[in-house]
Amino acid sequence: MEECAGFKVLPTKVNEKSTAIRHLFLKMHVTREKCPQKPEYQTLFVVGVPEFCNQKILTNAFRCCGKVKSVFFHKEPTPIEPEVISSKYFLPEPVKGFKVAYIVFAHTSGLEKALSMKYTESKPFILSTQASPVTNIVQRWCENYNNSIVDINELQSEINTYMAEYDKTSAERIQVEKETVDDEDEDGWKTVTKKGRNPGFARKEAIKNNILKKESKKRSKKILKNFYRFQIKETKINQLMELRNKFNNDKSKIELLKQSRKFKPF
Amino acid sequence: MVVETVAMMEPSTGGDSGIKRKKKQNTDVNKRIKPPTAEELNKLRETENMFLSNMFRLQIDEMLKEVKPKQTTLDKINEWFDKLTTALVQDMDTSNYKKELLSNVNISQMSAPFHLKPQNNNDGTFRFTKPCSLKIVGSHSIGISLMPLIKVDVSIQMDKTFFHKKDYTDEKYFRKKAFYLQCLAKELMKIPDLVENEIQFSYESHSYYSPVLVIKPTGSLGKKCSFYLRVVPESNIYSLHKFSPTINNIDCQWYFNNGVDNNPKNYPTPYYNSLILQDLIMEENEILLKEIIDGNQNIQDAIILLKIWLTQKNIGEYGNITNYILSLYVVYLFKNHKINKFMSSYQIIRNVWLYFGKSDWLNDGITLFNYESKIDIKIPSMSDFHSSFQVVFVDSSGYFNICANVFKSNYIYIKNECNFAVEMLDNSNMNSFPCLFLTKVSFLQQFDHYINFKDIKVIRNVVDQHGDKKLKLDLRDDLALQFQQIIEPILISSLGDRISEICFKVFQKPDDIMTIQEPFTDFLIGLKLNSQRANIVVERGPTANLPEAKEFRSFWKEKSQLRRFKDGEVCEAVVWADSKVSVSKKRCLTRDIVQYVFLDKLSISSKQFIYIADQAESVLHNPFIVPIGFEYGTGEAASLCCIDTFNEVGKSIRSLEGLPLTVNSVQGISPVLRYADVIPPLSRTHVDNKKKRKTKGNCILTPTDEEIKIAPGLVEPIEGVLQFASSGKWPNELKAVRRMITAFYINLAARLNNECNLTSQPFVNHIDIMKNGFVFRFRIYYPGEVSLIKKEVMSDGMIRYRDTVESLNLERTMVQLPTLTSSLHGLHVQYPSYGPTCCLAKRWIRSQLIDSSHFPDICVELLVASYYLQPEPFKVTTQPTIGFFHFLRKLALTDWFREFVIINFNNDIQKDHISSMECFIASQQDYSSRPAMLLVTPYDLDGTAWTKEVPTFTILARLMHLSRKALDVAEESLLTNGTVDHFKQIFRPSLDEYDIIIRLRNIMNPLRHMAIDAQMAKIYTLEPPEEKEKIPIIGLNPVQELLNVLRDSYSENALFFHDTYGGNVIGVVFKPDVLKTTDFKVTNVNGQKLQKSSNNRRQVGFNLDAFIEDINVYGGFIVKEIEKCNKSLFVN
Repeated sequence: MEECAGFKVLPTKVNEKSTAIRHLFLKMHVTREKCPQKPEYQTLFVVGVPEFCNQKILTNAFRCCGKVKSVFFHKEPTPIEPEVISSKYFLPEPVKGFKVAYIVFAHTSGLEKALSMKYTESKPFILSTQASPVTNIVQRWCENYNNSIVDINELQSEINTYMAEYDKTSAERIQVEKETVDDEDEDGWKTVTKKGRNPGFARKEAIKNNILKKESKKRSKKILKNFYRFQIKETKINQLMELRNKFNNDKSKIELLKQSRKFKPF
Repeated sequence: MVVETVAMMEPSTGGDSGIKRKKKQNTDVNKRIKPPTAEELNKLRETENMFLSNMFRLQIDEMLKEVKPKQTTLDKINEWFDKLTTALVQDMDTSNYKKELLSNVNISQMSAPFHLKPQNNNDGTFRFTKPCSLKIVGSHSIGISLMPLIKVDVSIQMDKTFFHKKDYTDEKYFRKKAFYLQCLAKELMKIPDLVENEIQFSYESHSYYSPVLVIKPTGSLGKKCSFYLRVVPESNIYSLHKFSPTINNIDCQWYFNNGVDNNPKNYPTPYYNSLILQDLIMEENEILLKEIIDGNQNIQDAIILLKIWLTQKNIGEYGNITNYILSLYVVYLFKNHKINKFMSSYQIIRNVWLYFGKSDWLNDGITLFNYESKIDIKIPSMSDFHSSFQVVFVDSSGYFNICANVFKSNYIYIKNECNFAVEMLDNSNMNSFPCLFLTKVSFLQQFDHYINFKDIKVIRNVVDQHGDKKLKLDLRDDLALQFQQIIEPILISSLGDRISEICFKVFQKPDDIMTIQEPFTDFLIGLKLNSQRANIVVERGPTANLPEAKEFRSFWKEKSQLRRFKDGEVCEAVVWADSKVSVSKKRCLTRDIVQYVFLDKLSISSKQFIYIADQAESVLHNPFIVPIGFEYGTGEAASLCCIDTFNEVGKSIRSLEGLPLTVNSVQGISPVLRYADVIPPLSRTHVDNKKKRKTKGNCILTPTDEEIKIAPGLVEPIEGVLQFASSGKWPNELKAVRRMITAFYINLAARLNNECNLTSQPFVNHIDIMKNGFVFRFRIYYPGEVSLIKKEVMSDGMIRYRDTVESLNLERTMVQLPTLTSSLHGLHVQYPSYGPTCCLAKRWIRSQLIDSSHFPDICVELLVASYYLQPEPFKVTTQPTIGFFHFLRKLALTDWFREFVIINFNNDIQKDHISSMECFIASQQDYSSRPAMLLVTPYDLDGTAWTKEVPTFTILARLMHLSRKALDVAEESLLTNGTVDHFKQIFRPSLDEYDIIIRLRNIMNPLRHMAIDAQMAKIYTLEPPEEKEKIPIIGLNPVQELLNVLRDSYSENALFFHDTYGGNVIGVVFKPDVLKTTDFKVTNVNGQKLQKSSNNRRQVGFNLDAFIEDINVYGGFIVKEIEKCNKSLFVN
């Protein structure tokens, strides 16, 4: 395989009958942050994957190199751990358009094999076989549509368990907050929470800004604005300035209109 | 006030020490507050008092600068005119011309541009001689001519040897003038280097019998000005009283040539007389004008402004109030002390409009003649004028009616326009200046319905049969006025208060000198409908036993019938249509009436004229589907049906008791709920008895075992938003909130199924409800969801809220869209043409293959709304076709780089905000940083909510170009052809400029029956919905899916174009740099391929083969053919 900027270039075809050659760019997955789901020396990083390549197609296609444990898709290369999706119904939006794939092999040998594949333009790698055909959009749409019609009872029970769990954790949190209201640490510092007799305010940006505004208002009240003669004079001058400014603004507007040749009536 | 105090303050601060101190403080500040000069103060104060605003004054100044001719041009004109004078008065050789008898003129050599009927005159001679003098008259001589094409009126004075004593009778005067001009034209062409060869006769506002000769100087001057030559006799050649409106100057026997008429009655010929008078009194009125304008800059400016205003109205032809009339009206007002020389130009025009708007020249004409100063028994009285003319404004001589050939309706129209202009000035919420002076108003955008007579023969026939003999003698072949006098009363008496305004426009092109012209080419009538009355199907006449009833019966003949009305009275009535016909038909009742009346009274068949009203609306028809219970028309009834059912469903939801939270509001968001859906859903059954489908829950499943080869009908849900009463019980985490909302859907669906007998199905993100064969889709809006999405926890534990793409989207669809929907729905109720106009606008934009991902639907709707909310200088139309023209105009003429669109519902946007927006836009230099289109509504003061990404400047530029073309083609098509089929051409896009054209299999397009030129084998009649039907497959549109997928993958490389409404091609245009190779980067390899360049550098380039293969891979059966159009891309 040819190489390009550290990537191996894999010439591929959609299926046997296809004539167009595409290029996939492969590389071993290496990052600073370790990620248990995408283990080093087992994970193949693929860039430029067309949208129609789903998990099934890629798993089947790379079967030739070794057993594929899992395939992750992202829109862009990311170090973030793929989210563990516990729910059957509340799913994240599927990736649209071209994507990057992380193919995790069961053994390191799979990755080695994948990186040393020998395919050429005349004999390219084939993505889709009989076992994993490419579906066109109508088929895909139908599948998604049918999947979106969910079993109500199952959905309800899933929600119930989730909410029960949520209620439990939030109740626990409140409990902890309540209990720690009057706790002092060893240096005698108290953590202020929203509970208790003297609750603290929420740490929100808006609230902080409000407080700062109030402070500055208080400060400005202390300053006399029209006491000295020069101050009175200045306010008058400012009024004139305003008038002039308005005139100048209008003038600049006209200037702009002039530029767009707005004054040619015919 | 402020200015004054500052001026007073000045001396106290004027002390040297004060200034010095300031200088020390800050030189910059000192520069800013330099003391105002007296001149500046005056100007500022004057502006406050004498002009509307700074802006208005500055705009006037700038515009006047643009239109006033430059001094160098004026000098050149004078120089050229001197040359012309010497050439004609001194050098011209007329010895070749012999004296000829008028009865003996050789027609092949000498002809007038008008018909000579009867050809032989009794007596009189003609000889071409030198003129005694040439003089510049009219607007140019008093310095009110306008650039860019200056019109210079020149009068050629002829002496007594040319005009004989008796020449004023029997048309001799006019024939001699025409012959003379023709000879003159020939002579002019002989002179080298003086005039361009194209010498023409022109009419403009002149009568058929007194054309003027238009010549252009050679060279560059010819591009700047043209000279209008006319022949006038020397003053005092005829005494004026010979042309009183009661005097006859044409021999009846001579004209009708009926030989033996036992009772030869010579009718007075006021129109004929006034044509001659026009030449005789010209000088006197000229002096009067000069006297007032000279040395009075403000009056001069005001007249120029009025002239521009009138020119923009675009009705300067025969029969209208002309510039000349308006200038003399200014003189009249001056003489009557309504305006004076201390007024500013703004105050003068305002007063002119004000007084003109109040005038009544139809019954109470005005005169410049001072009846007290001269005692002349021959002076005709005002009643003489009123009995001879429609509109009366007598000049200073007391004999000539300046408004002799002004049509009554056109006078009323201009009067209304004057009132409208004052209204605009007084409207503080708008910048009236561009509306009044800078917007060119096309005639086809001013009215609702138009009638165009193209065939002069038809008109001649009508005048022959129905004309008044007196007028026939007076005006002879000058048919316009005669025809107007026949047609106007008929229109008024038959249409009554269905119309509020009529205006006539007579088209006449200038033509070469040797051709004989008809009096006009087109006679166009504009009708403004009265929206309250125009759609009423039953015309109620007088009570049967009144004498008026007889009159009514004799007018309507067999159409008239007796009817008992709700108030118990039995009246004569005419029924024009069944009360259940579609709104689109009701809008065109006026057409039915006009066609009936023309045929009945004037025997003009509907084929002999073009009636312009609803030509465009035919693209909104649904010809292959018959809905249940109403006539489809342009779809209003279908939308209404949806809205009613939507409200019923809303009511059912609100009536549910014991929900965990009460439903506070049910609001719609689908376009159909604001009458703006081009293809509104129709109530029908979705049960297909031929095929058994699998079901799950309350839904029908799509077949997965076999591929779909025929796209089933598209069922689109009507969407709405539910909002609950606020509650503190909502969880504080996004995931939990979403699950709670889904739980509500489940709960709601169960309750609706059981208690309201409504088939409904909960989904994870919405709930679908079936009723009357419609599918409704509701989502729950919980404001806390937005803030949870916006919530960010900063590293120090501080919580802040920032807009994200997701939160903005949610707010747009759940908050702004419902508000807009109800506002736009209200707009449609106020102006029932709004909805169909939106549909037309959408249909047109989509037909140009620009779909909602390039130009969102709501943007189209808001643009249309901006016209309805602020139509000035037009008025809101009742006809969607005309509304559509306004949309095209808006699209074509808005300068998207420098303007934004204001959609001011209830005038809720403050004036200050608009002006600060203007300043902001003006100060912005870089256009690329902001959305190309800003739609400012009271709910979105920045105007960016809907236009952040699209439309782009590219798309707007293309639409500007297309709309300009479409407007031209459409107007031309309506005026010359008028058929629906011919008009439809603007909805057929050109496919020339696309790189690739994807042709789709029609059968896979669920909207194929709505394509512009759709052809279907049969018409489907819808069946009513069944009880307890399952929810059908919703939203399956394979073509749209294909587009989405292609855009997802290739939007960086190409643009995709498609007609949403049944289009069967997708046009692909690659971005200009698509074939450029770039260095490899992980972020730019999508759809790319490694390419080896000559120097063996490894770069990636666009994989065109894969792109084309992808279309097939994704499209499957949908794609019929991929046409590679751009040959340069596909060389191999």
